[in-house]
Amino acid sequence: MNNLNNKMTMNSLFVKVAQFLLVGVSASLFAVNAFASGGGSPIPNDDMPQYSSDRLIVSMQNGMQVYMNNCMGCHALEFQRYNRSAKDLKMSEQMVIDNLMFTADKIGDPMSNNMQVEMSEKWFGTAPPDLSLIARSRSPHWLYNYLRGFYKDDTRPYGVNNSVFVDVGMPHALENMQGIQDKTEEVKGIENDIGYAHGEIATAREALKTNEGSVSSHNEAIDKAEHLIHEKESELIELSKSGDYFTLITEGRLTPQEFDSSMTDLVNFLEYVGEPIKIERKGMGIYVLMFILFFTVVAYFLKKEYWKDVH
Amino acid sequence: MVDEGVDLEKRRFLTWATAGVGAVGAGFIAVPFLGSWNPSEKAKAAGAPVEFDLDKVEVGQMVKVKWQGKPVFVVRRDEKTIESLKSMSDLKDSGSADAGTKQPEGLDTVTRSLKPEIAVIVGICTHLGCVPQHKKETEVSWGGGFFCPCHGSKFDLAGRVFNGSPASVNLEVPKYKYLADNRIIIGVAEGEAS
Amino acid sequence: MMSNFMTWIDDRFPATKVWNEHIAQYYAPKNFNFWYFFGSLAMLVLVNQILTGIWLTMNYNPSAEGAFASIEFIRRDVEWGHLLLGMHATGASAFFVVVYLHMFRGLIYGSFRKPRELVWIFGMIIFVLLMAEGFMGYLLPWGNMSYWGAQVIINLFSAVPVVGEDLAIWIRGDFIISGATLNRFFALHVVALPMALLLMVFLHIVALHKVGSNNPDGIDIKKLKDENGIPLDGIPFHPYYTVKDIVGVGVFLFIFCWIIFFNPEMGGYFLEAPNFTPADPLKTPDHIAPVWYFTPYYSILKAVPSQGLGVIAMAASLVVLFFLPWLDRSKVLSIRYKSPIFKVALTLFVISFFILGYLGMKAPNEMRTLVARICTIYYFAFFVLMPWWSQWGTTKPVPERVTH
Repeated sequence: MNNLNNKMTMNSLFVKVAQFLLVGVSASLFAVNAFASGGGSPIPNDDMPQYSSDRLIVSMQNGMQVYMNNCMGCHALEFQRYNRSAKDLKMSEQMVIDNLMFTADKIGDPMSNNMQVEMSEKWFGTAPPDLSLIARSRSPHWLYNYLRGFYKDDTRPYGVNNSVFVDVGMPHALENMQGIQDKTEEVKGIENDIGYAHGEIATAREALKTNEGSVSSHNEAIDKAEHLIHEKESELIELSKSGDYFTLITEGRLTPQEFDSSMTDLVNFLEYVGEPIKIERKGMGIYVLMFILFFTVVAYFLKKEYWKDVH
Repeated sequence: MVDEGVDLEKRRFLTWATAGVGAVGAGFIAVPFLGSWNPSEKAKAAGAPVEFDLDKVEVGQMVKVKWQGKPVFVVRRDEKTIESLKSMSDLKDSGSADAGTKQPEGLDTVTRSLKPEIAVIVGICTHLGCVPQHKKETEVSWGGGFFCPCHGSKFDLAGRVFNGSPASVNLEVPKYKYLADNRIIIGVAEGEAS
Repeated sequence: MMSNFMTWIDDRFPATKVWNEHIAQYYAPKNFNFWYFFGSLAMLVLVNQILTGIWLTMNYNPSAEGAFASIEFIRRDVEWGHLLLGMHATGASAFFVVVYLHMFRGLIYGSFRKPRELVWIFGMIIFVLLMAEGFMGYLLPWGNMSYWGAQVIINLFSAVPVVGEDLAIWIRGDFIISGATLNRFFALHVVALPMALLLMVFLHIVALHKVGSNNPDGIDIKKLKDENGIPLDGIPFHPYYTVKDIVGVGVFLFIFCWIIFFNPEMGGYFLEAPNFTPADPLKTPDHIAPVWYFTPYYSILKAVPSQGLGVIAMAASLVVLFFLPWLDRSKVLSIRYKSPIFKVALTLFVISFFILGYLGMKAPNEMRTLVARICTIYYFAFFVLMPWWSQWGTTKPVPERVTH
């Protein structure tokens, strides 16, 4: 009878663990990036290097400096207070006041600017948004690639376009750091091919509608063109991965690697501003989980003791 | 179904152990609920120290400065007034010795200020909290100072309460310090970093 | 001294009587398993939502102008505000996980069958109230997904014939979702619905205790009693299930806190990215989807070709559940003794429910719509045809005494 009980307990324990794991596995399966994206892979699509502890703090400090010098003029951080940045990024309030504050704001004030909404709408087509939460609504990965995706485009009002956020209204605020890049000749050639293929599809579709020519040859043309587009788009992704998508036509203050590093810092800062408590809550979480585990173990022994009565 | 041989000792121990850990856990859970009632960052920022330019205050004049939502009277006193403070009579606590008096350590007990010519006094009557009115020496017979219209308390130009007033304690002097000859910061004590 | 005190109380209030009847001498079957944790866990989450909810209203600003900023204010400027917010937001999703599992238990063990029909119906009312509570709560942060999600769902009401348009305007209090909508949803979410939920939970438990709990074998433990009238297979709820439920609470809290402290966004399914942008009547998010716990029903709505019929289908998918006690005509209550046909049918039901949930999150395309239609048809067939198929196949003999 006892053996049977033990086996039952083992079984139910096994079931419980399995169910726990199931929840855990499915939770991690759900940890897929659920951000809506348009069709296809963005370019560039590079991963940011991950830093931790002190290296990360230094990176965020640098990022804050980049932000104050290049971004704050147009983009406020209304929900973040200066003294919070000072405390979390391990800088003294005096240092922040001396080096990172350019207004008459006090150290406890939110990081706002004087950008007026109506004027900025006139200048940029849309008011430059507050960026307090941009890292949570767009993701750090998106931001990292967006910041590195500006390229020369004479058809746009400010002479630049962005490969991640097409036809963005923002000028290249970081031009003096990065310089200006342009798509390589190879990329331009491939894009031409893609454009041509789209044209072929459109023509074939028109012809199908007006019933001109053989249906099968039009469908064949569409198929072929779609294949070509798919192939060429993969080529572009490959080029981006190998760093051959853009080429620098005007140099900036920083080399491309230095610029990438600086953008990592800036994005780390924005990720911090998006949720300042994030690092702290993870630290707290370890203790919380340990306590709960301890409590559950004690409670389990209590349960086992009482349940000896049952059968 | 409860058999003989139930280990009551063990049950008592485990019950207390679980209850104990549970109580500790309940204490932990209470922390965010209770803590969230503390002043928010916004309140703390609003309560931040305030700088003030003394050039704005003429002799005999009183200017109100808002600090932590409260009015702070800044008065420029002339030589004659400062002298008369030393011999002011009819005060409940001329030396500000009363334990209930709120003022920073080490101040002159007569002038109750860092420099005698500038008085910095919290403008809230120590009786029931109304804001007293500033009365110049020339305006009244009792030497001038602050008169509280709510229940008639009177204070001299160093904020010391007169006999016959419902208030029992001198007006509060906030912590403040000089940043320059003509500039003070209210809310930071002498010796504290501003 | 304590017993004197209790006597004084008992002379004036049925304290000991209620304690005995419902806890210390409420005899529950001794074979409760994993699936039986979720009722008490649901109560725990309800308490969590109410306490953290009350605390959030202390700093939340229910106006269109101030709501979004007040949420960030709570997150950053209120001491411990981030944790209270995390407990509440994660709690909302946890509530639905727990409630779905709780309902599933009812489904597999026949806990909805006579004489527990009212327990099930009260539970279904709780479920519908919970969906309304969650829907209204989601508008309160006034993010862009809050706004547009509410816009889409309230627009569904305009599909009601004749009065639809006016009905939608009446619900909103305005021609578009606005501060008027936010204010009334706030009042309903904070006051009215929690009170209704508490009442229904109380009635749900009263109804349960009147007939006694079911068990994984689906047999009636009151049939076999000892010389004292106590069911042979029953054990008093206290101390045995109080002590067991505490362990359940511990395991639940471990998972709950893991999410709150390490992964509150859950890949964008618990905290949705577009909601970190303030509500913008001029700009719809790329992809509107309801929060994960509504997606199966949303899928059903999208699957039906016409908007009006789609709304009816979505409502029907909930209404049909109310009738469950009368749909299952099998001789036995519990899946353990039902024919393999039931097991297959139920497994397919679970799979199609998950598929519907998944599809509800995605933008529709031809293939997805087809699959959603198949699953929707299966969903309704499962219930509507149950009076017939539940009698197919042979059931296994049901034991006299409970097993594990």
